[in-house]
Amino acid sequence: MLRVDQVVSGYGAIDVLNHVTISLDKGEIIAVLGANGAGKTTLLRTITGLIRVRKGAVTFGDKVLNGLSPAEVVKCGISHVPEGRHIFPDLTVEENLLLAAYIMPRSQQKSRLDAMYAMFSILADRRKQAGGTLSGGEQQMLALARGLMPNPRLMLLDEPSLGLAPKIIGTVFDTLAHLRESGVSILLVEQNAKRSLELADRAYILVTGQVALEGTAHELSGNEMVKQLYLGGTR
Amino acid sequence: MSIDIFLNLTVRGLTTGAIYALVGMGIVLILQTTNVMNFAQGDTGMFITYLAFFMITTAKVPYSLVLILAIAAGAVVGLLVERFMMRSVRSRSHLSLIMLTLGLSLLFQGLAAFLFNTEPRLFPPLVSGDPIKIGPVILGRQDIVVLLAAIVTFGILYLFLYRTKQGAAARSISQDEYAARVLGIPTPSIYMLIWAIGSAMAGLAALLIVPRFSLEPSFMGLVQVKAFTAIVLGGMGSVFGAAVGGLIIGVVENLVAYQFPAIKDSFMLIVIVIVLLVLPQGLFGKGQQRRL
Amino acid sequence: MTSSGTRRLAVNGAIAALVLVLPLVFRTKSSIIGYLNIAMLYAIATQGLNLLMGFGGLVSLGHAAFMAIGGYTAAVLVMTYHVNMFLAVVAGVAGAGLFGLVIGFPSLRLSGFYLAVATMALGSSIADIIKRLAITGGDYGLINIPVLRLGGWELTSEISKYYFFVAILVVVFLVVRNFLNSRSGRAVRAVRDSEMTASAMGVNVAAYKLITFIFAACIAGLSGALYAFTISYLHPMNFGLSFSISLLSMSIIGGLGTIIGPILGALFWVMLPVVIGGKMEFLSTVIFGLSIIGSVMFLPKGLSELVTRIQTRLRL
Repeated sequence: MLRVDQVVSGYGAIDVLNHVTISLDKGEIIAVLGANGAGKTTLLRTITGLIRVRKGAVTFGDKVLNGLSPAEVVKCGISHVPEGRHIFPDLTVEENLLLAAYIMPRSQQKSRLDAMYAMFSILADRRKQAGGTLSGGEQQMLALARGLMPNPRLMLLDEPSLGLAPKIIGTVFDTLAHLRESGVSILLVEQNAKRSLELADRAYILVTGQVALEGTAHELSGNEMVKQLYLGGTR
Repeated sequence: MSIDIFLNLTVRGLTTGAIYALVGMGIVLILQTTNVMNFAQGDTGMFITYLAFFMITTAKVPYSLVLILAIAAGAVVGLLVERFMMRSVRSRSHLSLIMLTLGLSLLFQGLAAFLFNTEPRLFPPLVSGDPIKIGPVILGRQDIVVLLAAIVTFGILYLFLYRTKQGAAARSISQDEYAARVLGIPTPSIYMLIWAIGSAMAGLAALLIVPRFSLEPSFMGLVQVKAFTAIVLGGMGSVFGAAVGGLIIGVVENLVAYQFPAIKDSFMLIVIVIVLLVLPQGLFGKGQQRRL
Repeated sequence: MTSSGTRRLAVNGAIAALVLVLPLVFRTKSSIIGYLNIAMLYAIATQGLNLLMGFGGLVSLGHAAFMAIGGYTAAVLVMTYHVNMFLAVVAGVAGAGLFGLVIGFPSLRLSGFYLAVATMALGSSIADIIKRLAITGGDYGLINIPVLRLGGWELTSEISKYYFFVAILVVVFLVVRNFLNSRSGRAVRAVRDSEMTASAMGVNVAAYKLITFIFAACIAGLSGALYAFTISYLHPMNFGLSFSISLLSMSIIGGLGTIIGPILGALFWVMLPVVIGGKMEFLSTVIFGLSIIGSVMFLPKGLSELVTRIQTRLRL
């Protein structure tokens, strides 16, 4: 469904991604692992149109995403939950959610909102509260809900477990597993490799802007190098 | 100062302050959403007032229609400025953006002076007739119109920011522009919209205050300085702060001019230095973040 | 020496020779030399502004106020208190610097927007402050300010002023260049490029901003003092907000962050209306506005960049 084909992109004079190729089929959860600075976030930003594709192509279904604005990419059915959550602190929970479905007609917004409140009851309780007053875990739930608001076919998740307590990380990953059943495909970028490989169908390992390794989650979990670098020690 | 004089000065100050508030709110709206401090706000209004003047005197267009046309013209100017100037330099430094608006202000002044010459012209007030007496307060009809227009504008702006999705989008951009783009909010069109609204407010404000002065290319200069003072007083961060700041400046200025005429004109400077020393976040500031 | 080095030397020599010979060419037209003199006075003030904006990344919308303070301080000291002229100029420079501190200190702790607004308030109120002081001649201005004396030499003719200003301009030019190449100058540029990096490197960001601002105010004060003793006439309205904007425009059009920019900008500003002529006076304002917009959008280094491009094209 998503194909990133030999993509080069970056900031200023620097190419961060160097001919990266990944693909994702409908219903799959794909994990992209790698150290800081390997280009994981850049990959997501490139898909969403926040950064221009310099070489190669990004396609979604039969649509070429190169050159589309982030707003147009969302319209195609891809949503992006950024690293660090980026909740609007002074906007209410409800406003945060509604903005994520900016392009939808009002009636549809309303039904999506109800769906989100059904899925995340904590958000329903806090709908009139300012985003900045939520706890870290609640903010992550809000970030996930914002990602789901436009009813995406593919969700890009950037470090959803970052800075959260282990118990809450469990909740986040449970939610992701639940999403898979509802038919949303997920491209997950994580430092928490163990959790990600448990959840994902397949995974890619990025090293300095290139795909160093790819395979099913099972294969990679058994790979010596992966064990050493990403599953072993502290990371 | 007797209580009657005090009341009269205060109410009259409120009407002047309402103009500062209108100009200031437009500046804050644009600043908070697009991160551009628009030093051309006053002269945008000035230029539109010239257009309105010729509509009234030469083309004999009725006043109410001129008001609408002027607001529309302001919006068009704002759209053009965003689309053809600001958009291509959005990522530049604050300094570059400030310089750009200074250039724009000079361009408007030059155009007005070149096309219409610098001779002061008398601009007819929107409404004429005897002043109205409310208790001890005597208020000109134009002043009442100014107050009403400011209140209505503030109300519309409030509804826009807090009741429409475009308004929510503008507020979201002012809090976290990156997040707004990630969520798929079409930020370029929001920027255009905000420039249009801000510039339309400039046109309205200039049109309302011009009968107090005479129409000449420099007439909005001092008004803009006071609007900026109002913004600093209000905390630079909120449209609401700019409105309250404008009203306070208008009233205090009037009282000071009556009681201490010697410092009437340096009063702005004193206010700014004191505010920055004692209350650097202003009355309603929330620190340095961009907030609407 | 490489051939390009030789060529550059030749070009610079030619420019220097032109500068020195120019007044002799216009010997009979002292009005043109007069304009050049005004341009050089502006170029001195603009040099400070250019330092502030181009290298420090800070803005001043009230720079003419510092000129006014320098000019009035020096003139009043000489006329009322009969202070030695040289000391009066020094006092003018110091007075402008002091005012720079008063405005800069409260505003520079906050974002750049506050400095813009505070200097704008200074720029718009300075004329009225001066007007209300008796010692400054109030609304009549100060007339018959004594002409600058160097030893026994009085600067009465435009030609003598011209050479004097060229010398001062060169001195200011060298001082600014040395400042930029000094440790402080590097710190200032580091602050402009990234406050965060600079402060991480241990640079006291606020202090360097303030130093730059005061330095720029001092240079404007110098320009104002020289203005007083060569034009011999000061009026508060000459230093209002619009003149501050003019100085700002000169530095932008000339090219921010270039050391030759202020001279080009001031020349353009003074000469364009002369060339266009009185009838179309305000066309020049239109052109200035467009030039600023054009500079920011397409030629960030203004006229200097244009000159450099032409030089490269001609392989000079």
